[in-house]
Amino acid sequence: MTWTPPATGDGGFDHLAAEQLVSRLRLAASMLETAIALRSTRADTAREEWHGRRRDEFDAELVAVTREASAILDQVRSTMLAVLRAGDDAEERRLDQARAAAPTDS
Amino acid sequence: VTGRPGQGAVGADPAALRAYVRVTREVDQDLLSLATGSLHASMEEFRMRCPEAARSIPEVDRSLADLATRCLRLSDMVEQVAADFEAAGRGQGLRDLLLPEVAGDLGPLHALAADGTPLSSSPVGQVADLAVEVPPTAPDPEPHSSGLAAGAVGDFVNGAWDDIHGTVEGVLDAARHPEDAVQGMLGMIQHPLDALRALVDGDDLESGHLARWAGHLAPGAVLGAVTDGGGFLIRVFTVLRRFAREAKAVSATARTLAQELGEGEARLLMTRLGREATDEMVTAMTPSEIRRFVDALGPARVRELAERYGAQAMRYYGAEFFKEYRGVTDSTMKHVVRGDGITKGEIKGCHDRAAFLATIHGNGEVVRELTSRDNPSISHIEYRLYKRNLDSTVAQPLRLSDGGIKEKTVIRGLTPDQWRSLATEAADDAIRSMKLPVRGGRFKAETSLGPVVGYYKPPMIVTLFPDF
Repeated sequence: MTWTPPATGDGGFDHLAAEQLVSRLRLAASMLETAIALRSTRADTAREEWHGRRRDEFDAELVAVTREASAILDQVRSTMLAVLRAGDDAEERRLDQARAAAPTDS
Repeated sequence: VTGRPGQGAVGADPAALRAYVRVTREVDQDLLSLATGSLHASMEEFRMRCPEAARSIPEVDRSLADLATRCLRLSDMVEQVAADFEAAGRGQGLRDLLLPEVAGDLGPLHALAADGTPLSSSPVGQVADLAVEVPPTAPDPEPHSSGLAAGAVGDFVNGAWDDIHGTVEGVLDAARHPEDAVQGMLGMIQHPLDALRALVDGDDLESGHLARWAGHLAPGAVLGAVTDGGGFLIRVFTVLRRFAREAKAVSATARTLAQELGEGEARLLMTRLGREATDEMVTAMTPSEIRRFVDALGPARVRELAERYGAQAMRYYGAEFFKEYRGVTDSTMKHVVRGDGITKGEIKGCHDRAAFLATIHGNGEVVRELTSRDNPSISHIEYRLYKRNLDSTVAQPLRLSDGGIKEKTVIRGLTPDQWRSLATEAADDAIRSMKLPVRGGRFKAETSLGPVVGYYKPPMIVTLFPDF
């Protein structure tokens, strides 16, 4: 049975909003990975016979954006994990609250 | 990323650049759209609904949007480079355009310039404009051997650089790093004076420096050529190539002289004679022969002889001949134009038609006159003189002498200056072609009026007349 998060906040956490955000972050990570790989491959071809000052500028900028893209990719992934972890924590808290509220049979 | 169109890109393939732009721009636009659209909305929603959890979440949407924007700008730059190449070369790369220039064939550039398309906005367009101004030059005799892969521009620069034996090493590293050639050239354009100073004042005696003290490379003229066009690559190349050849020629001449006379005397000789005269003389004369000429005649006269007759004739006749030679004199001109009167039954000299007719008037009759088909101002006259008394007066009644028909070739309509110019032209040609007999005698020469016959009696030309 699949767990469906409640539509409203549970302990201050909206699982539906979190799931939507994780979905977008996953997409962003995927697109970013594709962008890094494509940019590198196409740049290699474009640079084959390109020499001069603007080639140097391009190279420098390419290195910079690739580094930045990798950093952002890490950030996206860690954000995604953080949101998932926050959801897990919220669910844990909810279960704890539920257990605490349940009547005892002593 | 900045950069003026068309500068800083050599040999790039516009199609490859376009492919890069097409693919990466699509991905970057999708990323930007995601970052500013659904991702941003989801993050806002999450922050609103889960403020506690959202507190530690970074603004990845904003970072992603910034990155995508930066990447799109990079694509814009690449697209500009591709566009520059396409606009400049109409699909041809800069390499394709410059290779013919390197080979001495400016045909494609001429074609670009000739079809009326405005080209001045692109560097290669300026190249084409220049190609019309600058006559094609011969191919570089010594293509660069480094095998560097930067293509035509690099080779072109290297070729010119090699020609001047590394004098420009201090100016540009471009010779050895063709990928920087364009940038280096631009530096030269921006600082032509520094570049030329380095060229002319270089430590290498055999090239720029020697050229400067020889006094035959005019840095001002070179500088003008560099700067007056607003500064673009090919103009500098062209100027440098010419400069390099000049320097190389001086270098070769200096070496030839120095081998026999020593460096000091070689320098002195070149300085006294000047570049052109020395260059001419070393083609046929040994350094010792040149020095003998200078000792006998002085540098000014030797310079004149080199220019007027050339080294072959100088060597053939020798310094002593020219020391004695008087050529066309006032006496020559008097004989040729006005004549020396009537002697031994004929009119002596007098090859000016008007002067001849004046002379024969009352002294004889023109029997026949034939005009040259090649030059109507020249004619061949057959004449007879009247009989004379013992005291040389014309006998009366007038009777033609028994001396038979005499001949005279004349020219009509020449001023005295034109006559002298013609005579000098004939004498010079006779010496240049080594047809003037050293010990005197008849000779033939070519002039602008046609062939002439002359007679040389050392040290002067005594007569000359049209060979008709």
